[in-house]
Amino acid sequence: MNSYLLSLLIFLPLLTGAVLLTLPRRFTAFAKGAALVIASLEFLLSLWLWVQVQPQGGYQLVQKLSWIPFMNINYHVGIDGISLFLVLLTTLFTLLALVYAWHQIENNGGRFFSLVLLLEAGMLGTVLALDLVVFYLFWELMLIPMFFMIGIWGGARRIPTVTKFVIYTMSGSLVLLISILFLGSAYHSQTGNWSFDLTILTQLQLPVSPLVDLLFFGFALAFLIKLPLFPLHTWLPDTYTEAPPVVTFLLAGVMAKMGVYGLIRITIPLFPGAMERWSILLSTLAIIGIVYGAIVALGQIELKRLIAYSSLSHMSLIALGVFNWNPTSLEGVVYHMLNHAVATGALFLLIGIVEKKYGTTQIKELGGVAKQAPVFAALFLLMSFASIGVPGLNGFVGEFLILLGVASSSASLAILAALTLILSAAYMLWLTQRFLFGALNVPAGRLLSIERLQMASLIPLCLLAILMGLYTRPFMQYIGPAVQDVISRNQTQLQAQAEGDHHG
Amino acid sequence: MHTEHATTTLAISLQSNWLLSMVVLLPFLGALLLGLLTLSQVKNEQGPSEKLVGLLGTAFPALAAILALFLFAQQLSQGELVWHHTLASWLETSRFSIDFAFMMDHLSGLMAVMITFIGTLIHIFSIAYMHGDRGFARYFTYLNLFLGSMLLLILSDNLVGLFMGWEGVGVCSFLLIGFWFDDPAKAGAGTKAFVVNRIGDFGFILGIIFLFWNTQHFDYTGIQSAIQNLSPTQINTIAFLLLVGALGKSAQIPLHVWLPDAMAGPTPVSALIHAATMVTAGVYLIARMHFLYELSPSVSMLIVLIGSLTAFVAATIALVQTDIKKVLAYSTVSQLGYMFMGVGAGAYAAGIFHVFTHAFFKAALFLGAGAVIHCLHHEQSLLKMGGLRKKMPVTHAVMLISCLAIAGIPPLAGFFSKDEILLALWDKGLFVFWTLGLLTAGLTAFYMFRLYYLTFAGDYRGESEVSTEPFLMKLPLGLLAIGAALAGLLGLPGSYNWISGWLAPAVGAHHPTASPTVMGGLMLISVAFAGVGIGIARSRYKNFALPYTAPTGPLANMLQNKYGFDLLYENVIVEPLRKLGRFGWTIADRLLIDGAITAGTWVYRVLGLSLKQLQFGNLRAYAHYLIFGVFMLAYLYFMRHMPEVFRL
Repeated sequence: MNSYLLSLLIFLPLLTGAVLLTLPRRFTAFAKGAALVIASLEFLLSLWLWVQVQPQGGYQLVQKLSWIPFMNINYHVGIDGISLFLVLLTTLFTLLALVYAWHQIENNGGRFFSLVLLLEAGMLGTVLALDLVVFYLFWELMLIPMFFMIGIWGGARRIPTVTKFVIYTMSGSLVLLISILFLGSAYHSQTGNWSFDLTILTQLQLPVSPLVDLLFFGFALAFLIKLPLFPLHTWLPDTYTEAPPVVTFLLAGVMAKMGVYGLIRITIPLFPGAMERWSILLSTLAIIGIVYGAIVALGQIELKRLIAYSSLSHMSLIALGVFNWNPTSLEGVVYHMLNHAVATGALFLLIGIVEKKYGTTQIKELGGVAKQAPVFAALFLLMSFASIGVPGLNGFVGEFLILLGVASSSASLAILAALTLILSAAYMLWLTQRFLFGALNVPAGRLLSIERLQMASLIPLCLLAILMGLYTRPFMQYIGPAVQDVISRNQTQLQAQAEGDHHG
Repeated sequence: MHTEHATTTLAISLQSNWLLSMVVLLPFLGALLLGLLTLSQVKNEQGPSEKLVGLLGTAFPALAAILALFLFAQQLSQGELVWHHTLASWLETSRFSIDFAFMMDHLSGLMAVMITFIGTLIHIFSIAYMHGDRGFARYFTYLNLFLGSMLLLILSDNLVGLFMGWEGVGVCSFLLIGFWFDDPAKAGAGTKAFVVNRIGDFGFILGIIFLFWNTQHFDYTGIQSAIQNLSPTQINTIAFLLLVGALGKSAQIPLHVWLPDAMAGPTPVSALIHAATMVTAGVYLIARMHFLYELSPSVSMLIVLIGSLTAFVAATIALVQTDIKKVLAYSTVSQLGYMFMGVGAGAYAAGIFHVFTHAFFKAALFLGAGAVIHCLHHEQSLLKMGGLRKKMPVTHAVMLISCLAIAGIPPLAGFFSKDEILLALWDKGLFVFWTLGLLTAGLTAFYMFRLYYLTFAGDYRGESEVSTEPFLMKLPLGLLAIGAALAGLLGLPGSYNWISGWLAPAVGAHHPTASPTVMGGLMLISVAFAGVGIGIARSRYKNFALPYTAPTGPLANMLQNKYGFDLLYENVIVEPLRKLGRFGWTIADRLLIDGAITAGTWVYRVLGLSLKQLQFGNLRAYAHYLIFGVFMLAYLYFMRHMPEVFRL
């Protein structure tokens, strides 16, 4: 039974989503209800998974079925302490998104809900796949519902925006596919056998050569775009602004993390040597992203775009933690992925309420909101503090561990990255000062209030922000061993390569 | 018999050490309860009942004060007792784990008692001061939250826990400065305070991080035992980074600019947070890390330099202020400068002693000012006061005692602690800084009595009716005045100095080498300076009458402009950054990055136009598929005929 748990998790939303999508419009209520039930089941399943997975390194609950035998492509899935929390993040956020969207998405809600389920399946498959071809298929599967969700339910400039988004993403994916095929063939020419299995390919001995470095970037590009790393980020502010807030919630909260996950699970384990060679360049870009994103956020005049750039800054810090690749920074990275999802996700949900109720998200058209909507203001402030890393809330834990980890390999990088402490406080509190405080200035006759279902989707996020800031054990006891395992494998491979080079 | 006694006391300590965690937890619990109460009544115009909120809001700090006092009393009776308690795990990684672990030694015990005691008094005062305010319950929530964070800061046994309290008090400070947030200026002052503090925290967190990688510890005991292995460069770097944090929190030059603006908050907040407790956290940090600073003479000298400059500069700015709270704010900055001079000169106990006495007389001064402001219906200008001696006798008496205390008149509190610091400077041969400290003492006496005479002497110059202070204000005022009068007796000069002996186990002993004659002479000089300051103030302001002519001339202008720090920061840092943010992205994102990509797509588009002739439908999609197809064909070709291409 347990070996089918992960597959059940992936295919339940995939199949139900596909079926619900075909239902005619008059079944909207049914489709929405069914999707909500499935999403709840998924979340419960993933909680069960939390109990089932042991706090130790290596893949668990593995399932491997032969799929395309002549090229040895297998349906191979498994979970470890890193992917566990991305699974939990995905199922929780999907559920919260549906609860939030219940009244928020008015037009053709059934289709929207089915697409969210398909997206969930894509994300879960991406996180759990251990075969590169299977990974790639799920990776692409994520794009399709996202394309429709932005293109149909997005804002006024949704068509050019979604085009930009798709071109960016597809370029990365295409290069990824070519790289996967190339690597599989390289394995074939080295060993005479086919394999696209991650656990096998990571044992491949790769020499130091420009071709390998090129392949490394081929494997990294898609993830760096999704992350995004400066200067591959220009799709992000447009997309985050034009997509419906609940879609941005999923995009910024979960999908962006798939980029980080891809680097940790695939790119770096496959190319540890190349990662070491290029870490200075990539770290520099991450630093630029941290500082640039924060300064640009300071200059934004629209709520969503401001949070979008702050997201760029935070994700760049996460990327920096990945590139510095040591246990402390990597544990911080995994934790911070969840933190960033919670804080940024909640902020986008809150802004979605503003957009709906006030009809504008221009900062200069808003002011003194705390006067009219104290509860809204309290939640917004809480999430702002979580986002800028005030200890006691979750953001601090991740930020601190990443800075700590980065400092162990480079003091100067840590100093530059720590600038985020000052800059994030500046743009975030200046925003609250103009938006929440001051004299009341809102569109006439409009009243901001949080509806019950929206509140239901926000409260778990608030509780998580506090809980994860005060008690890390339930998370860290899984993350720690998994990270140790990933790093020690990397180390072994690097040593083997060094010996190989020595002999060769 | 003796061992039996020892066993009993040991048993008591083992049984009661959980109380240490309760000291920290109680105010947090109060904040949680009050917060839920506030939120549950958010739709209600009146809010929750003031009686209930006032009672709850004061009960938790009072309980914490009683517990702290109980633990402190045990320390008093049992030599070098240090309380320890680990409440829960917090931040666990595979490499280390940080707990919510608390430690009460002589230093943190003294601080905790002072903070909870003064904190409780200010809570009581606030019940009267905030009466009728719509945000009454929110106010007490924040105030409890502040007290909890402050105790976390003081009682944590490690730097990361301290940092949590450190940022927590920063958040509460932000919330309380901008408490009346309808006023954009007040909300802005809150932002300014937090951001300037974050500049300090930037240094602080890096200091903690570098300290960890060099000592493998976050807790004070561990750090202290490993500190000897560090090179001088490492020591200096870390000492400097931690100092940056202290400069922000304790409002020292160049990070002092936030504190005067912080007076936008309700006056009891200024008393509690921006005078008695939070702003002294920087001094506490340096005293706590004394073993680090003892190894870094150069950074210690920097502390003396910054402290004395701040003390002097802030005192001169205070000379021309006409807002009663602004005078007190600059006076606080100036007094914090004294404390820095003390700890910089290696006299950690003297620095903490001044923290202790200052907490009493400055809290009394702020609450006295608060009572005046309250009775004059939110009038803060000294020019519209006067003659309040008869109308507010209790406040007058309290303010007089506190002014004398801060001016350094014996035997009141400020005299002893300030002289300990000046003596330490003299002892170290730092005569320049000693002179600066002495001049500052004279200036302090002058501006404080300027404030006193403008408020209480002469005739009343305001228009509004003067109401009387309620009992809930008089009670804390009276108790604080007693402290302002007597707290100095804890540190009598020479061998009677109790506080220096008490703190010795925590911050090391410091014995002045000056002879009694020299000490007496120094005291006489400083009292003389204070007397001259008071005398000048009396002659100029005792019979002050309007109109007030503001001092003119280049010097006065410089003081009015507060030496131009704010202007400089605004024009050189804040505005350019905002402009950069505003226009940076149009240039970088739109022009450079998107521009390059658009240029790329033009090539693509030209290609596409020719493809369009072939009746393809969706241009972009098919172009993608085409490229993909070409790649696949090439791939299959090479696979079959030249597999060596794939050999890496």
